[in-house]
Amino acid sequence: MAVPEDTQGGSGDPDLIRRGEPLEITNEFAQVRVCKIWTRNGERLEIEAPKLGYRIWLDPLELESISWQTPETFSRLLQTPFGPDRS
Amino acid sequence: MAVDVAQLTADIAAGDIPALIYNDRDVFELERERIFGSAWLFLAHEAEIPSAGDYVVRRIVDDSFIVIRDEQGRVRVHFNMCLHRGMQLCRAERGNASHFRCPYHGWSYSNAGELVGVPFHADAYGGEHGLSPKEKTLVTPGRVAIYNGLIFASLDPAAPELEDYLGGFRYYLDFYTRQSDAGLDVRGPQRWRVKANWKIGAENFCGDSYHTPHTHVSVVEIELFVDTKARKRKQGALYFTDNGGGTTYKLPPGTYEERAGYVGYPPELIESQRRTWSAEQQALIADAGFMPSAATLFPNLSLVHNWPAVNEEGLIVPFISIRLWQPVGPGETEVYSWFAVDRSAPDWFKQASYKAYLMCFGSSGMFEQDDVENWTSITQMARGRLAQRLNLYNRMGIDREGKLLHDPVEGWPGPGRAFVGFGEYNQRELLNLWSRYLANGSAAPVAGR
Repeated sequence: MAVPEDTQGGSGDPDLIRRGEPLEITNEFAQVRVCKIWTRNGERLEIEAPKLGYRIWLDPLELESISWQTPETFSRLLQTPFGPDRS
Repeated sequence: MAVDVAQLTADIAAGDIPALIYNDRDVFELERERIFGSAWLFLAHEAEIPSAGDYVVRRIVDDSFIVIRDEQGRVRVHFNMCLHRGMQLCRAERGNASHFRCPYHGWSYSNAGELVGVPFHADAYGGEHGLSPKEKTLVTPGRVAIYNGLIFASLDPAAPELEDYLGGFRYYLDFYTRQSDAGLDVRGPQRWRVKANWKIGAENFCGDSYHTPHTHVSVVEIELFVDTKARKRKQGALYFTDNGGGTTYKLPPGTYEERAGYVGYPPELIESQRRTWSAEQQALIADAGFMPSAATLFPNLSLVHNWPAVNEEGLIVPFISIRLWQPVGPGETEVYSWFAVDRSAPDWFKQASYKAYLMCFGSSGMFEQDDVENWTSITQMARGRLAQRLNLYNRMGIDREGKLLHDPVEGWPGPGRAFVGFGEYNQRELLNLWSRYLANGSAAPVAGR
């Protein structure tokens, strides 16, 4: 697969082969950047919260499991609205 | 100066309007408490929030509300104030969100209004022991109800049912808001502020056919809307029922189809109207020969339906606008103006109707520009000292003894009472309601009168 040079390893992760066009999802409460990433042997979706400094790479199975969650799951995830309560 | 409500009520019942009511701080404070604190008030149309999470932020005077469709598809109205320190939760005018996160300390709520997240819950509150989020929900207004997609709220938990409040006015409201089972599509609102008292627009739309040929003479001159000529305007009927009333235009002779076609409805919309409206509703157009134009539901929701020429060939196309006169203070109003069109209408019609609306109403509309000049001037004059001694003459259509100059229309097909010709019947009805609310916080008659 041809990998355009300017997209290689954009996040400083040396093992990343390619990063797709980022997509931004925002409303008045939060901002996230979403993009598809390619590892040497597969692909994942990166979700990044730039203002909070969190990032997660989700594989198809994890993403699939999100598709059947109810709003209550996310209410539970938001019990700590800014990420884990670290002291 | 303290408001003498009994005197106000008596003056208004006699057809005299104390001029000060159009710009007086004490009157406004009473209105805030007794009208806007209890009547059913329009917030938004369902078509503005079609998908789960869609919301708009609206006001009832100083109270801000989030009007949102929750994840289950139910319309909810939340007081827009965080339960922790009172911060305004949603500050964008519209958006989509499954949850709200307060900008101040991060208390987070589901869009159904439940408190779901509190930062450092264990450290700060001792966990559930100190604060149980599950027990906290955003405050809601007293009552919320929907009619034809129109979302209303009352701050009074003991308010009557919305359908009872609308009463006979539903017959007329359907002409604007249910032209087919598909319901309305709305655009907007355009929103702007005018230095005018909120009641003036409400009264104008309710029944002031007398101003049309004068204030809007330029609309006639350029042949934008020819039915506004005085000799045509005075043939229209003015109706009032329960908490609302409006104006109509007399239609030329013909069948329902010919008359609806005269104002520019294409055959497919005429068909859906005939399928949707009751025989009694259709009789207003088909038998009595009147087409609804402007109307007001007490206190501050107005509607308008006109049929201007939208191009040089003289193509006549009707439009509907929903408008809200949201008070900012005694001398200032925020005007909300929506364009509304039947959702099942063909695209060419929706576009032409939108153009018709923009030519007449909205911030660019000719009618709008004409009206506001008068309304700001009245409000400015009403601030003066002599205005406190002046009663305005609101007796058109009655003689010095208060006797009607003309009989009501016989066989009027709709609820309420209607008159043909110029008269301030509806403005008197609206202000009588207004004074009863000022006295009682409801439409109940004032005790002892």
